[in-house]
Amino acid sequence: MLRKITLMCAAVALSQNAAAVGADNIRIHGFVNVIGSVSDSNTKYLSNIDSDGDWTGTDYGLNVMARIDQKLTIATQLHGTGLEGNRVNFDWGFGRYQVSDGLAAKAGRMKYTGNLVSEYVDVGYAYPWVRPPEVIYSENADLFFEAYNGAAAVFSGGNDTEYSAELYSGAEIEDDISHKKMLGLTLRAVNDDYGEIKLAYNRSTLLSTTYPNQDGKNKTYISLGAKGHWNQWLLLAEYVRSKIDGLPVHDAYGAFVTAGYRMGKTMPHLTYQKYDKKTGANQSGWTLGVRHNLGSATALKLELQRVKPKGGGLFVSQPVQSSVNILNAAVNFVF
Amino acid sequence: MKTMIHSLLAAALVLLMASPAAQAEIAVIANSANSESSLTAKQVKKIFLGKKNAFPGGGAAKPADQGEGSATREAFYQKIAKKNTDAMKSYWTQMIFSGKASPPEAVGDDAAVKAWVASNKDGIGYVDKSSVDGSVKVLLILP
Repeated sequence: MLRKITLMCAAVALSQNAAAVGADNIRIHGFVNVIGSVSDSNTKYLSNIDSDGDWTGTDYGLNVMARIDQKLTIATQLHGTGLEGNRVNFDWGFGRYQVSDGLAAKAGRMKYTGNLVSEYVDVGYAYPWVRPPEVIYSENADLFFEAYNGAAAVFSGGNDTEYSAELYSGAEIEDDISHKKMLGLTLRAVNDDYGEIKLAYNRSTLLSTTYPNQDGKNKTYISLGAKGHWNQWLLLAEYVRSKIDGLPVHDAYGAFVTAGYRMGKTMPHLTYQKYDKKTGANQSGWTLGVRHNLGSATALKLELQRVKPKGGGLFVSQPVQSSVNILNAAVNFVF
Repeated sequence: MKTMIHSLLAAALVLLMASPAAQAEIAVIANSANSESSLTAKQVKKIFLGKKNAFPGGGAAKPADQGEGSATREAFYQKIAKKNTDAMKSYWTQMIFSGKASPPEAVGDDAAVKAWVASNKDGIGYVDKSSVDGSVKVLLILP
């Protein structure tokens, strides 16, 4: 319901201001990800990937941004997936008002800002991998949520290195489990020459009839991420931990480190990732990949991945093999 | 042998000087009615990277890019942000799809940018210094 109200508000605001804004202040962008994966196991990884091959990671999006005036911007994004029914959803839509030089207010349905790539997690062109490390960014890991309905205040400052603190509150409604009374803080330092560091805290109260033991419990996410670039080198690293008060068996963490080396339009990269949940489901693995930029708006990607799960890891159940090999390929477009 | 080395060095120098992307000075231009007298490279960078949408004096700033593939555009972003074309594309992909900002409108070549800035009171653009004339105001020269 909150999502519908948010979308209606955004749509009304956009339509009412369309004439005043002018076409030159409305910008439309989009992305397409074509993603294929195949493994050497019959046990499905991340719900869909097995030896039969999988293309359900394929998705696309359309982004509209309107600059109403010098202080107010409204942006929204449609997102379609390759999952059953080829559903198209409103991914997010929010208004941002620049109160002063160092303070902005946002309201609507917004991307979660706490993780390193969470704000553009669906846009493959924006990162080196075929998909962001699944030990944090997959639904199965349950260490991250994509968006929430609410409001945020963003305090910012600095010069060569920019600092920001985003304080937000809201809720995220899902079919099986919802987050209420959400309160979070994302701290960020960015230097265009060297990279960025993010530290985030998010706390919410769970609401669920599907998982009655979690209903009414408080859940906490803590994350620390860093991105660095020096000459041709790119380094990305992130650690995320979650816990549910009174249910220590749900304590979990995911972490990864990626190193890439740019050689013109081609970048080979290597990733190590690890996931551990107190239930006993854990896994570690390496991914060797290469990204090649074709023209100004297309990226080709190829990866070889080896995952060693215990207790099932992020598979639907424990595979027969002790380690599973996965081949991932993607073409990402942006416009 | 010495003559040959001198000839090669001279040829290399000529080639280097003939490369507009490496050597040309770039002028950051604004509408002639703009109240700013000058800008620093950092202020220009913030406007063109979507981090500020106003001039230091408070007036709205609307940046215009040269077309994709333009040598002047490549040189401009190398000079103000130390980023090549691919790095800028990656930067804007992250900014756009997180709803933070849109890139400057790609207007065209020197003549097109100059005409666009001359007809937009909030406009700011960049052109090869040799293209500057009285129709626009120069706020910064990037060596």
